[in-house]
Amino acid sequence: MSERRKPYPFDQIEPKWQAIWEERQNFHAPNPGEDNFDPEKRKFYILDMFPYPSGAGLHVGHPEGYTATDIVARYKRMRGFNVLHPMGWDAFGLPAEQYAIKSGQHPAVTTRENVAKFKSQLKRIGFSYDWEREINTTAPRYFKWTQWIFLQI
Amino acid sequence: MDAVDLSSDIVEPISTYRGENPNSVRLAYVADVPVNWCPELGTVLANEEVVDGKSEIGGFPVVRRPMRQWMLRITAYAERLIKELDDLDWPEGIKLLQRNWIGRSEGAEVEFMLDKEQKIHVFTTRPDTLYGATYMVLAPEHPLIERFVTEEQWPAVREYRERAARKSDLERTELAKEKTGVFTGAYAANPVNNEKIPIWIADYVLLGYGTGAIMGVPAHDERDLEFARKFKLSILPVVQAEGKTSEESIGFIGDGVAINSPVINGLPTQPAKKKIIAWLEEHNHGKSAISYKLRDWLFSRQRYWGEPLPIVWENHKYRALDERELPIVPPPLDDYKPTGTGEPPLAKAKEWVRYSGNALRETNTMPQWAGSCWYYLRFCDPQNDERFVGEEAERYWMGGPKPGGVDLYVGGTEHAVLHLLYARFWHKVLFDLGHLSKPEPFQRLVNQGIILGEDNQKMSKSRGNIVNPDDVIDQYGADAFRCYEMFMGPLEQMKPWSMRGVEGVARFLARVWRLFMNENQAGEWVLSAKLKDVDPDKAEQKIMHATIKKVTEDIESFSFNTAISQMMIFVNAFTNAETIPVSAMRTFLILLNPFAPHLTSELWEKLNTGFKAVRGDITEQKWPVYDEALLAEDEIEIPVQVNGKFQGVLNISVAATKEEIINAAEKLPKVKQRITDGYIKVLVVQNKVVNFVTK
Repeated sequence: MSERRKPYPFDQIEPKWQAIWEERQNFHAPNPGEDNFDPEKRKFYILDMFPYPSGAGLHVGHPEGYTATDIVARYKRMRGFNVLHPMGWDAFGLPAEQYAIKSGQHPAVTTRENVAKFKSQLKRIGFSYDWEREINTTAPRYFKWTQWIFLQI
Repeated sequence: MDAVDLSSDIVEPISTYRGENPNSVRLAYVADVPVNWCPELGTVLANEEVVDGKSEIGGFPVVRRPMRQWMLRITAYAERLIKELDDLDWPEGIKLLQRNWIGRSEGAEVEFMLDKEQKIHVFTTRPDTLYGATYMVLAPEHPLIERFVTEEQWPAVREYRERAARKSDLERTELAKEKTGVFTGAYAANPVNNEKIPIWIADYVLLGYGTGAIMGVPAHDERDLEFARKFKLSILPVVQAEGKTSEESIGFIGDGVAINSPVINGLPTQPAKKKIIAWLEEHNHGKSAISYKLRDWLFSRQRYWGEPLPIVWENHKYRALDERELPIVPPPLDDYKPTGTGEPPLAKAKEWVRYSGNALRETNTMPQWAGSCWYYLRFCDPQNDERFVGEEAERYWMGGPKPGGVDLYVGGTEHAVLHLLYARFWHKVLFDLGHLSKPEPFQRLVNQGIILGEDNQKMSKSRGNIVNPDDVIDQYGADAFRCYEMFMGPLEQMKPWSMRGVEGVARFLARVWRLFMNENQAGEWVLSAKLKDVDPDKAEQKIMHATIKKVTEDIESFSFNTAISQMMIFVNAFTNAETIPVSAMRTFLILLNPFAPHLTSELWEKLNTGFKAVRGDITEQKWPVYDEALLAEDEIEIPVQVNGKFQGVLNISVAATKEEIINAAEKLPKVKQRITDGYIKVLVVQNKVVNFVTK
């Protein structure tokens, strides 16, 4: 054998299925009113504390909770639940700005880069998030409503 | 700060308020308050963001300084934030942290008269000790001080105030080894006996806590006793401890019997409290009161990277911008760094700040907690541009029989009094305003434990023990990474990373692969010839159903590590089998799928190519159910003897009758040989032994 043999070909299998899931949207959770919404199914909302995307990228502590919730999400889907399992980015605030100052860049730039990095890392682990629901607290379309809520308070 | 009527839980939103004083109707208000100023970060911080006198982020020193700030009146929700924890399925430790942070205590608010007009309010949990109040202490920043401090004492008071301003709360309270203070020269009247008691200022009393003034009862409070002894103030015991003299009761802080207190003499502490409160109310000197440690939430930051507040200032008054102007996007700024003076960086964008001829934009931004206070709601309906969340989507996803909407929330414990408290507060406000269907955001909360480095130390750059998920995935794959994260130990526990552990789990997954796949001579993976479309035998059915049961129950109870152990047992049971039934393997793949979704998806697909295909990929399958009947120990082994000598073992159903047992035993080969001439009798000890007696 010429190259070091992998115990099984995970390096081929894993990207293959991640691409299939993305294409088939297996993990999209339909809202009431959507075409494929099934009113017979019970809902189950499983939430991870969304990360603030730091410059260091994901560490092994993040996916600990994310794996646990992913197991429950996949299990509940097979038990017939309509499972909401979303992910997003808590990207405003001191840590993000401190990091930007240190690296001499604008926080908008570092935030964009860090989010991209986090996202690709999470996708590599095969989490069954409904990525259509991805949110970013620094997107004007999102913080418009943060400001609106402040005006209600 | 202005008085606000909070008799109703609903406070008018500023967006619709058209009156003169928006500070009086809202939960958000502007106040000049002593704040936690962090010079290094160039911004103020909320109490929750200050740990041991240092910033939670970066660990920089924090000092007190008065500044005009936006505050959120979270204290108006203190009672509900405590009470409504009861029906949530959260770890008790987190509930306790929130309860302690909110810090509810019952007692009385008492008025001490300074002169005919001016009163000083004090909150005490021990109104039964009022007769023992021999002096008062005010926080150095207390606004009343300037009104009554004597001319003689003014220089000392002023100097003391300046020194106190440079200290953090922690330095002023817990860290202070020795009590300091200055006499103001003034006296107040104790309402119960009209005695004049001296008024001091001392920095161990904080303006932000209670009323910023305390009554000193040195006989029954440790701090007060220390203070009184140092400054030679009088000490009068008013609670007698059981079995002690009044003199010996000095320093006693528990419940006892009231002494030297005419109105309540002889009463035990609890009824004494009630009676003195009734007396105070009757004489208009005070009332029963509840106090909270929780302070209003400091909601503005002098930083660039946050949501601008949708507010403009005109003629020293503020007003809300119209909803239609949202979002207010921060101006692009090349130099966005903190100014160091406390003036927010947004002030540098002069054109942006000038909203109109007379109106200037607010330049503070929101703290980092704002966006995470409601993100779980946005997930329900993230594309909605008409409402923060559509009503139908909110009712559906946040619905259910329990008070909390999110069914399961998983994260670290570090947010116990920050995010988890703030989000509950916003949620309740929005609920009260009729925008939400449930009073609580998160029904069930689970905390994951911290993962340590291989050296059992916290992972950190400086220790060089950080594990990068990408490296692990490169070497072992994502499925092995996922399974290892769960196999390390109970989710809630703190545990060290181990690369050998990852290897072990990776070997398990490789064994799963080889149950299904063989490498042919061309080096290609093909379906194993051992896989057969046959029914599993009894033993195989039993382990299959035991595995379904265990994995199902373990997922429900978050015991992922033991679920994996059971699946290892399953794989071991089949590893050396000559024939591997496909149906049992399909069931197993579904059980393993939530843990190792890629591997199981691939094997599921492979089985569909070699055997009669099952519709849909593995994610579309139904979770298997187990049959309890198949789990029972259904066969037993009974040793069989002839004339007391062991001849063999009989495997037979537990339900077999005596007759059936004898019939089966007769047929054992060795027994058969020895009873060819018949036998005289046979003894059957139920399920234990069968003995044939010949001649």
